[in-house]
Amino acid sequence: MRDGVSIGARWDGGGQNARLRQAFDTGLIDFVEANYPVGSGPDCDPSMGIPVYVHSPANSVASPTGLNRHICEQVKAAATRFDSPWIGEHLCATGPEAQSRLGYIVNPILDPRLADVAVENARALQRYYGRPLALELGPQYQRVGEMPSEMHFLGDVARRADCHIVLDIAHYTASNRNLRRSEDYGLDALDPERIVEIHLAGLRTGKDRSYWHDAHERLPDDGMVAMAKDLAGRLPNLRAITFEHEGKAPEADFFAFLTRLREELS
Amino acid sequence: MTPEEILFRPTSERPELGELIAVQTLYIKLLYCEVTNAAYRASPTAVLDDCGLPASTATMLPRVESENHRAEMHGRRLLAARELLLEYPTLFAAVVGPDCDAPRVGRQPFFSRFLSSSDFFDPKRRLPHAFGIGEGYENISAFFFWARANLELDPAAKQALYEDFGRWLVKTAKSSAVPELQRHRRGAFFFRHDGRAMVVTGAGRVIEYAGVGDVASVLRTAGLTDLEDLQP
Repeated sequence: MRDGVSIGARWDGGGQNARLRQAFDTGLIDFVEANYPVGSGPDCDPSMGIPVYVHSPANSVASPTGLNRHICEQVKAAATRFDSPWIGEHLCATGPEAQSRLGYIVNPILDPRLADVAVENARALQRYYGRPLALELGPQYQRVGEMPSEMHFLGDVARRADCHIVLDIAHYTASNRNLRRSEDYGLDALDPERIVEIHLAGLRTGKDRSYWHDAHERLPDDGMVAMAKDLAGRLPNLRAITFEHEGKAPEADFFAFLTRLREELS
Repeated sequence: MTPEEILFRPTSERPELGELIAVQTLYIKLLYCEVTNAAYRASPTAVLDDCGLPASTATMLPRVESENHRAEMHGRRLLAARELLLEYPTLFAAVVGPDCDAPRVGRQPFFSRFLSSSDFFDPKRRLPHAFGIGEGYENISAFFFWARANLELDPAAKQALYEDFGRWLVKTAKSSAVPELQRHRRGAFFFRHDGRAMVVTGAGRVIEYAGVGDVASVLRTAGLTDLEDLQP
């Protein structure tokens, strides 16, 4: 295992606690990553005595509408409670207003003026949280706007706002396939030293087999594992690799993949 | 400026962002609304003009005729259909068919009408979210308010709408610390087409209420929510 790189797993709810606890106790994971906000019930606490990295897919960081104060407060409280080394945030809009999310996140319009807004928001959010922000892109299905790509948009915003980056290999691979680009398109648009975390998950195609989607019920394919291994060897500040696997997916797959990942990275 | 002043200021205090907000609003509408897509395909400049946007902003919007845009719309439609199907199984079985799935729901004309409605796009046409983050983070209540006002349903389907929503409301209320939701914990009621009162209990069961007289007052006094009166 490369020194300084931790392996973790995504926490989606209390139903996963048993498998995550077991993975931690057997040395397969070092942390869990939880998406905030979460509810207030007994199944809504990811701690279990395991380090928690805080993430949020619900804030409209790349939107001129502003952000939802309630979400920011909950994310900040969780990050403070768990002393999260950074907070993952999606570089996206969420809905037509600051407080709204119609469904899946909305990829940003790739326009320099919107990049300026995202830079201002990311800087302010970083100050508000009092800890580093790590920006992540969602999967792309189309290019909207005149900047060359979402990777250029992310690279520009992260650089000017001085943020970390979460590189989600499943989102990245899906985007490249959906936009008919090479499998390593756009990596050179990111400052390698800003990438602190990698997300790994499976992919699936839709019924027409033309478009690829994030699929947390599946395992990453060999190409994505090889990419993670390659990046782990050359990203100077990489600190974490998070496996995203939903709780209703087979437990045997979960443990087998974590074991494989540890071996591949050793 | 403090971070809070930057992050949480009302958009009304940022007139310089007005055009960007208008473009993004139209962009989001184009990801869901077939009516707006059809209008934009027919005349982009007319739609932009309606939104108070110059023709030059067309470069910041999707190419609506492209396969990629249609694919993204399709995926979003499926996700929205899945969300609703999970909580309205009885209604969709009655309206779409007993073996309906998300793709079939997604193909229904009424579903397109919902995704094109102001109820879908307006966060205020929803109940507060159970996590204490305000309105606008689920489509279940938005669909109920829209369907109650806009969908012509036969008596059995209408009962299914109220039963499914009542169960979701009580379940959500019981799992939430949000006061506006907690008031629905004790249950909800509605009247069937034949005038009989139906109660969704705190346990999520639907039973007929056999009382006489001013039944609605009795049930309201008992702390139950009248689904006919419930507003966002």
